[in-house]
Amino acid sequence: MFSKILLVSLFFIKTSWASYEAADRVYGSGSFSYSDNRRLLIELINSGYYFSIIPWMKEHIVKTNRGLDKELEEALDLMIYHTGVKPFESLPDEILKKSRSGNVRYILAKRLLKNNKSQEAIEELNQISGDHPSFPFISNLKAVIYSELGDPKEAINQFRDCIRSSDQRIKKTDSMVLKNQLQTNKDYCLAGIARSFFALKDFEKAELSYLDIPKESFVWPEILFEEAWNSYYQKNYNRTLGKLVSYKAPVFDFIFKPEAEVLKGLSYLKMCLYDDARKISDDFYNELLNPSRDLRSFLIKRGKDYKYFYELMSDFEDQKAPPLPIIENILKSVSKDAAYIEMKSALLMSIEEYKKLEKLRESRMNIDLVKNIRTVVDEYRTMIGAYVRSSLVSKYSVLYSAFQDMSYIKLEVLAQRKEKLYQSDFIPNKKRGDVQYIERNDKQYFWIFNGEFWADELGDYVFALRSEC
Amino acid sequence: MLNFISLIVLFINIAFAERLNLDQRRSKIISIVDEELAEVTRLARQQNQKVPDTLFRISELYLEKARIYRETENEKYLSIKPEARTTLNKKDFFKYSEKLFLEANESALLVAKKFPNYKEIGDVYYILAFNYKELGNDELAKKYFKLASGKVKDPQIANKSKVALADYYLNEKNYQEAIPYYESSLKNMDDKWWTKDAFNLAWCYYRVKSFNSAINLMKDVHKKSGGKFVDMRGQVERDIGIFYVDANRIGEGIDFFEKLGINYTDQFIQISTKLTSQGRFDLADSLLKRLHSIEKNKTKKIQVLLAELYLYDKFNKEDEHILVSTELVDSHLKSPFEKSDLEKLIYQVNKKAAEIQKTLASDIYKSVPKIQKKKAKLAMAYFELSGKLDPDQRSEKIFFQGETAFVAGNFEDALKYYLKAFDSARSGQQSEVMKKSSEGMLACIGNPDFPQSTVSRYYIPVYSRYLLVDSRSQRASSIYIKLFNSQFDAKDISGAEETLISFAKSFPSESLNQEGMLAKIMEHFRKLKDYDNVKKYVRKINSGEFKVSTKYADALKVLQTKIQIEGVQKSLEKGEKDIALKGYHQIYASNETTPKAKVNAAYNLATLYFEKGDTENCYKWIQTALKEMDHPEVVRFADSILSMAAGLFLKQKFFESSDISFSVLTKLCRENSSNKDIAFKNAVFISLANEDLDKALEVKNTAKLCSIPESVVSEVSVEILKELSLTKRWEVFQETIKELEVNSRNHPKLISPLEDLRKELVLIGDSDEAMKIFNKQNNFYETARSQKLDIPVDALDLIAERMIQMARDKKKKIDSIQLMFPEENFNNQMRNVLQMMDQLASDINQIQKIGSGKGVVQGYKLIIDTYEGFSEKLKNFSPPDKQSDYVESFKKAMADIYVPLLDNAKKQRSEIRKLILENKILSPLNSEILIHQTVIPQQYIMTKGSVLMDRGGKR
Repeated sequence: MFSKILLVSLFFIKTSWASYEAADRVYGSGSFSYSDNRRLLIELINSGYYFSIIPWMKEHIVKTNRGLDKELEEALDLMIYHTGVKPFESLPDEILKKSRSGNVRYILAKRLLKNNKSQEAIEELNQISGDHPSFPFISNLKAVIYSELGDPKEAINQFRDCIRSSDQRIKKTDSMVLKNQLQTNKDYCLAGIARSFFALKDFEKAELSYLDIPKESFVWPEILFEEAWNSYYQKNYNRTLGKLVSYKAPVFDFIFKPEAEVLKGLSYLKMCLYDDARKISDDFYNELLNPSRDLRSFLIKRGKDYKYFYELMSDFEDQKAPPLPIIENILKSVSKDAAYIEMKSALLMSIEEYKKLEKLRESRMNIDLVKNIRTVVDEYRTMIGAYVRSSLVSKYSVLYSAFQDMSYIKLEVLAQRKEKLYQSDFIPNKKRGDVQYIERNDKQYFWIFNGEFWADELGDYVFALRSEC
Repeated sequence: MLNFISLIVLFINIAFAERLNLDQRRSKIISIVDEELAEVTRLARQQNQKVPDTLFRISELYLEKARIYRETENEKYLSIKPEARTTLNKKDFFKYSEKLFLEANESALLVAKKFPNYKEIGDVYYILAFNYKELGNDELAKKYFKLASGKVKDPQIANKSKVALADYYLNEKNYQEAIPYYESSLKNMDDKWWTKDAFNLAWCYYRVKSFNSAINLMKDVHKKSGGKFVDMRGQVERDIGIFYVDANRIGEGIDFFEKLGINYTDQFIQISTKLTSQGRFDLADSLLKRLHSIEKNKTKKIQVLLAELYLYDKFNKEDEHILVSTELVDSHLKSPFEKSDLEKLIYQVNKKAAEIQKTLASDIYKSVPKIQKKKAKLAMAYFELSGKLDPDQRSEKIFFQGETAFVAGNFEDALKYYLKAFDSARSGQQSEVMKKSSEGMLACIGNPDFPQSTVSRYYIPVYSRYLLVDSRSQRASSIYIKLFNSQFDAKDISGAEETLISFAKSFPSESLNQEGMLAKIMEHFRKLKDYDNVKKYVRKINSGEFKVSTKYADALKVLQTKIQIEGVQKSLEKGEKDIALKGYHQIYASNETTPKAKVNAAYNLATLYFEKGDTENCYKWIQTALKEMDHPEVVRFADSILSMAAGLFLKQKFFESSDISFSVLTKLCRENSSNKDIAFKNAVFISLANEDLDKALEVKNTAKLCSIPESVVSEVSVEILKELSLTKRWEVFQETIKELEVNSRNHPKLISPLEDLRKELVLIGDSDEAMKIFNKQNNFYETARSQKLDIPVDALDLIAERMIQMARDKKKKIDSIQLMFPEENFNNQMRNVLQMMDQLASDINQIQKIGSGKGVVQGYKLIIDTYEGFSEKLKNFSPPDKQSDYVESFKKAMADIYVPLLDNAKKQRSEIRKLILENKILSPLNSEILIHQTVIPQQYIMTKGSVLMDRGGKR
């Protein structure tokens, strides 16, 4: 349920620009001991070469029997700040465990969580100091793990830590990039609180918590759907429908969310507006059944050709039309995805580094670094391709599930209609959309829906349909 | 998701839902179910059949659809009239719903097989069980009810499964198995069906002889019934009595009913009925006897008696049954029963009567006549009662009594009953009973064991009754005859006459039987000489009132003739010819006389007149008879008629004789009779004798038409030729010759007639034609000879005459020779004479061969005369101028010549005499030869009364 979190460490960058030369000398001397290697890595990181040394850093981590020293750990954190954790996620657990780096522990905890070892993941994260620059992200992850462990209260505590620490870090940093990352992290944690209340079935608190997330937040469009669900559980179906209708706003044209249609159908169903529910189901099938089949065929045909998927995304960003309209919709969504943006940013940075290396004097180290950077760039491209593919697969899966849901909705509609036939007269169609059926809280405004979308109105629409139950 | 239980609830609700058009509602529901099925099927496919919920849902939907269709099919099926329904295949009506049930099962079975741990598996089993129950597969239904009862989560469904199982075991009479299921379900059940299921459990207890448990539970059911529970009080009150009886707690049972204010008589009658049906006679009998003794209410008592009747019937207690039946019948006659009670009584009485009668009809009691008689008596007693109960059917009951007596072999009694039944039915116009009774009567009198001496007394009453119900069938025909014969034998002639008349009306075409009856009747009257009655029947026959065969009609005519002629015949036999003559005249003149009798009379008149010598009347009546006789009769009487015609001829009545012959010929013309030729010849010859040549020719001309043989025609033609020659009708003569010439066999007969023609031709100078005929005659002669045909004597005479003429010429030459001398001349003359004599002798020999008597006589005469003449001449000749010696010697020498000649002439004379006498040759020369006188005077000697006749006998 929880989305990927962009993990960015906060660092004070200690740049020593002259270090490249020193490193080149060491590399060129031919002696290549552990300490030389360590030195080389630190010097190059300090010189701003983060991507080209990824293979050497991974090799160093693998080869060393000892843990990383503090200086090297700091250098590694700095490196991950630029490269992201992705290049290191492929390292085996026992290798990662050698590192005492907070970021490496974070990587390890994520993997443990993925492998359903939530408790171990918590233990790993607990070893990271509270003043670690990545703490806001770590507390976010801890909260998620507590949620997974079925302890929403502790999760809420952790989310609150996340919010507080994020705010603190935002104040302390000047980097806009970092500020944004922290802000996003904070918003996720705000959402996490709402989700926890939701898990505790305290829908009112959940509703209020969701409202704490600002509309301008990067995560807000996604939260809108969760809010709709919350309203649904509050049996405030008019509000659910209002939330969902926001997705129709042009500003959200990048969002491809079949689940929203399912929820819409369910809401109509709950209000006994069977014809509307049926229409949603039928429209959904009419609109997406064939495209989803085409998507399935497309995915089967292309298999795991990540290079193709990378180029597909690349072409899309170059305004070239994808082979299917549904793919275009999904790619639009992917292009706004934080993980994708992070990978894309890393790729761009690695390319920049490649260009920089090519301009430097040709030396033995330079030649090897260029070789490295080429490999890394390729890996990023593969990662992006893999991510794009998995996004498509994931959307297909969502569609698949949505179709089932739509079938259930349709079946329920049919069952209800049938029951009426068995029992009594149908309720005749009455007047639809009446303000008296709207339930509001003090954080919401009532807007008369007039078919237009205003950015500041998004998420506040409320339908006024009378239940026909 | 709509689960199965709610589905069932929905089906219950459908009955209470709005009163919309049921078909429309069903149609809408089916349409939705179809949509749901399509959607769920799509979903299942999408889920790769791996989601049991979805598969289960498919099953539920099919079930739902199946049940709706089943309802519709059921309504359709029930809307068909019951009698028509029995001829239909019920399965055909439920085909579609069955298919849907199977579809539901298929999906449910898939879930059961693939997902045994599915959370709703109990419901799946329940559905399967339910469906198999609907499909009539009880074994599988039981299997899944068992599985469902263990797995289903919903206690209500678990209970339902148990009850269903228990019901199965109950139906299988496996009460021990049923009990725990009922007990278990009832423990957890508090719905309205509790009373019903508990009631079943009570019965299970009863069946396993746990009477106390059964009674206690029944009482509970009775107590709980009504209110929220299904009202089972009626069933409890119906059944608990038997529980009490079996538990030997009848007193408590009576208390139970009394407390409820229920008349226990009714209850116990019901119980007795049950006991009866269970074969527990003693218990039922003692129960009813007890009721019989204590019940004072008449209506109730009747019920008790009827129950007893039922019981005794069931257990075949005939003695008791007849007693109770009689009591009931008496009671009914005193005060009529309610319709339903009366019907029961009638049913029992009739049934018993019929049953006993049936057993009597079989061979069961054949060997035990005592019992057979007893049974017959019993059956008749039942029929007697039955007749009392239903007076309208009394005739039929009497008939049945007859039937019973019949099968018991008591035929006379049976016959009496049948007659009684018949007469009773006749007065009530019950044709069916009349018919059956008459059949019974016939069967009785036809039975070989019924003594003939007795049976004959019943013929007339039986047959006459039978014909009242059936006068047209084949059988009726024979019955008529039997009745007629019986009446006739019993001298009931008027009865027999009536039967005959009735028979003739019913069977107008059965002439043979009518004839038989008529013959008897008429013979009866004839014997009594009651000719009026005979004539009456003759008239009726002639008028067509009775149909008889031609043969019979003819015989009748003969009879009539016989009757008419009978008296006259007797007079004749006595020799009273005048009386007979008068009688025949009267018969002939009478209007009533049959044509046959008229012919007979005419013929006999002719005979009588012939005998009397009255030729005129004889001729007249022969002609009358011939006119009225048909051809076969003429054939038959031709002989005697021709004899009479011959008699008339002898009495110079040529015309009459010829006319009769011609009449006979005319009548026989086309008939095959030997008398036809005689009549033909007589007609011709007598016409010729009567010089009526034209008549003869007329008769002759009929020859061809009447197929007269050619030989006969030739014979008369030759005769006619003679008359034609005499009358010189040469033209007809020649035509006749021409006709006869055609057949060469006639040629010899024509030689002589042709001579007349030849002579005529000579007379008129037509020598050429005469010569032609001459030659033809010779030719005919020669041919006839060579063919050895008979040649008439006159023809032979003619031919001989012609040769005689040549011999005469030779004689003349010899006679003309004048002997003279010289000696040489004389010797030459002698030689010539002797030579000529040889030639003459040779000629005469030739003539003799012809075979003509006259020719022979003339030849002899000629040669004798020649010998004698020449001998005389020689004897008398003396040579002139010769010496006596010479003369003497000459004479002597001549004597040697003429003496042998004279001897020869003498010898010839003697031969011819002998020939004439032996061959009775008639010849004009006979006298000369025989008497040897030159002149014999003609002498006519007439005796008295004789007449002179010409050739034809004409005076």
